[in-house]
Amino acid sequence: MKLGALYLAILAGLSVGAKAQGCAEEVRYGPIKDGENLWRIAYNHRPDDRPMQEWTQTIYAANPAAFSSDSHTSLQIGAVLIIPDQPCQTTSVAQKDPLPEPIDRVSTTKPGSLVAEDALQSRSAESATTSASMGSTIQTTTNNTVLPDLPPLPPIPTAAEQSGTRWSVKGELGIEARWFAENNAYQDQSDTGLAVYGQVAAYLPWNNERDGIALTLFGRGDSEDARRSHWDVREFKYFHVGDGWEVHAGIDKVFWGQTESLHLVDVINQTDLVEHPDTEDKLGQPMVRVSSIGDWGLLDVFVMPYFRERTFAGQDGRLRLPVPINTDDDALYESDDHDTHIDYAIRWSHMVGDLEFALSAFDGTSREPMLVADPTNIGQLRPFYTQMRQYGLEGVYLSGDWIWKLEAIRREGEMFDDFHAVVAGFEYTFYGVTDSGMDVGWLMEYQYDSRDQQASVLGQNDVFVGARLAFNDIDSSEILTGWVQDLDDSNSYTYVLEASTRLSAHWTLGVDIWLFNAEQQMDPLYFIRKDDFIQIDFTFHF
Amino acid sequence: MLRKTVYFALITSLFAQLALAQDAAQKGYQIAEQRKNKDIGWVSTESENRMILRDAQGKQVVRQLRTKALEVADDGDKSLTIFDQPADVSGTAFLTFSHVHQPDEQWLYMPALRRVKRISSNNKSGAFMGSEFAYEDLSSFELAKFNFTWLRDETLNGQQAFVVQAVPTDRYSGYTSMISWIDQAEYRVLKTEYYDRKGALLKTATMTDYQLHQDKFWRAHRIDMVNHQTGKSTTLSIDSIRFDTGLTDADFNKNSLKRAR
Repeated sequence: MKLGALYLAILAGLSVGAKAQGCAEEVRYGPIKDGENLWRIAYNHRPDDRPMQEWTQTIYAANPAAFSSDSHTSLQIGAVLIIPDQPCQTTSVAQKDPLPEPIDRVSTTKPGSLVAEDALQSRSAESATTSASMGSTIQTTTNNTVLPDLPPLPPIPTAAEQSGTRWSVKGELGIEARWFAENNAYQDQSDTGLAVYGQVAAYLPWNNERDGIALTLFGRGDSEDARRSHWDVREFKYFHVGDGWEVHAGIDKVFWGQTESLHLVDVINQTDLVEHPDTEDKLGQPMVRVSSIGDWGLLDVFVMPYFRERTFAGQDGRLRLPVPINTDDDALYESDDHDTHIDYAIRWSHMVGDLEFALSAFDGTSREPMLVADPTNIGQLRPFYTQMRQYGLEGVYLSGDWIWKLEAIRREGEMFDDFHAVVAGFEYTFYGVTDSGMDVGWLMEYQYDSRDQQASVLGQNDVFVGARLAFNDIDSSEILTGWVQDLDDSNSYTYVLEASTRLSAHWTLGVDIWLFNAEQQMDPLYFIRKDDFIQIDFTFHF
Repeated sequence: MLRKTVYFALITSLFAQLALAQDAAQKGYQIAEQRKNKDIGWVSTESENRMILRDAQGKQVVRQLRTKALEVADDGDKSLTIFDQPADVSGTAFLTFSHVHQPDEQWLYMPALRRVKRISSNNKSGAFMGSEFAYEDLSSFELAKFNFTWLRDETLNGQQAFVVQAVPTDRYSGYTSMISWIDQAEYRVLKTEYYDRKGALLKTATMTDYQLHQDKFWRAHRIDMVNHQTGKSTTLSIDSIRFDTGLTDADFNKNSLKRAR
């Protein structure tokens, strides 16, 4: 039985091998341009007086990937045709004898003429002085296959050689434009906005990268909103790496989480909300982090001696509440220590086969403020930061083409009703769906929050459906698009599209589209319902 | 009588073919085993690489990366790849644990978010950073991942070579078969043809500029991967490589991935 299976396997494998043999003296033609058809190509490559009907069928059969359907007319633009010298399908070698004979491939190729081996290679080698550099390796013995000429490589950058000391300064500078589709909901807002932003990151390691200092500064200037013009130390820390443990002390950024549509568990860094409504921009957090790793998993312990207040759009900015939030005066705190309350956190993550999970706990100042009536300025709001304990669970499970993701938290405190929240879902990716190798991932996540009676919460009973398109082109073009729908209120939804591509070695282009819809005044989305926007940014990376 | 003879002849020829097929499989496996054995004991390497991506229109982009690799006895190797160029992907890093009997494990580090993301092991047929190399092309070569068949001997570029077919055992592989030309003197892979799920020729890799390191280990300092179906191609070059640099398991975990710069 086993032998039979082996025999079949070899036969099956052989048909592929034989195909290669049968088509040994093949010529490649292409890429196919608009307006070309199989008949014309077949006619131009017809050997002797073979009947055209049979000959087109032969080429068609030898190139299953070049046609989009069963029809001879479905030849795809961009495809490269293999023109066999004989019908590939009926290789006599394969049918008579299952064991391949040692056959030396006979190549009639001459150096410089690369048609038989690889027409594509020759195209890219055109710019080079063909075969001048590699010509010596090509031989013209009759029973000898030769490798094609290779395109010349660009010169090696000097950075590749100075790997001994790995200090670096990197950064980016960008310009961003926003257009808001609807008229402003509140006074003083404008329909357009222009901003410039920049970031510079310095990295200075020593002791073979066992010690080092990292500094990242960020700044933005906004034409409309003075609050959005701000700067921040994203990172300024010293680190030391020991055996199985490491310590990072200073201002740092840490991410916790697994899901895509909502980051519930992620509590270490404060959200730099004025940057973008996606809440993925974070302020640098002063902390000492000790991390140890072993067979038992990865354990991080955090001590955070200083609190960062959340940023909010100002009076002139879009994406804000109707009432101004006073962040000029100090925020209100539950703790008498105000922003110098010492927060603690711990996170343990581990991996068992295809399951990865993490448990975390946080005790300290809530990163999410309550907005209360400003005691000094009538008609304004003031952020009030309570104390909280948060217990978090994260999981990711890989099963075939599926990636299952989960985040869950429970939050407790004296100043608010304890609650829990969950976001869970999956990502399913089709790899190489098109001839150009594009990957398409489908995302679906469900968001639940037990504070469903209080309307101040987004994602209390919502579904996110999205798609991630990775074009796998040389410009790394990507599109992420999604829809968050409130299941309790069909009029409450958010639509997001984020696209990016590279324009040159240093420039990238990003396009974001965010649409908000809400009709209930109690819905937090209601305040920004008129803030649908398109954002375009050009960024120079160095 | 005649029918019996025909029947008998068929049976004998079938058995003869089976025996021959077995020989070819055995020979194929032995060649692959030799190839694997020739590359045991390198311990660890650190290299500077470039990936030159070209699209069908001839547009070209250079990616600069560094790779740390650690040999793991009785299992697949570990590797950490860090991108330096283009500047917008600088700091993006991949950590890979190759395995012999189970799917590879892989993590991606996205520096802007400081996020480590587990990548599906089924993405092996997916393009690695937009190149013509699939993730599985860069995974460590393990015998248990393929069924081998020796096809024939052939001369390639004047070198005597075995032509060996490898059929991936993993159903998530993007290939139905790979045919490699392996030189008979040093068991270096000179060329590999990749056949897609429809059995059509998808890609050809040519390995050139072989250099000997530590008097033992041959490394192709240039691999050219050409996609015949799209006209795109990628060159992966080793610009420098150092052996046995003292890397340990501790250099290949999530913490070192997050520290990668």
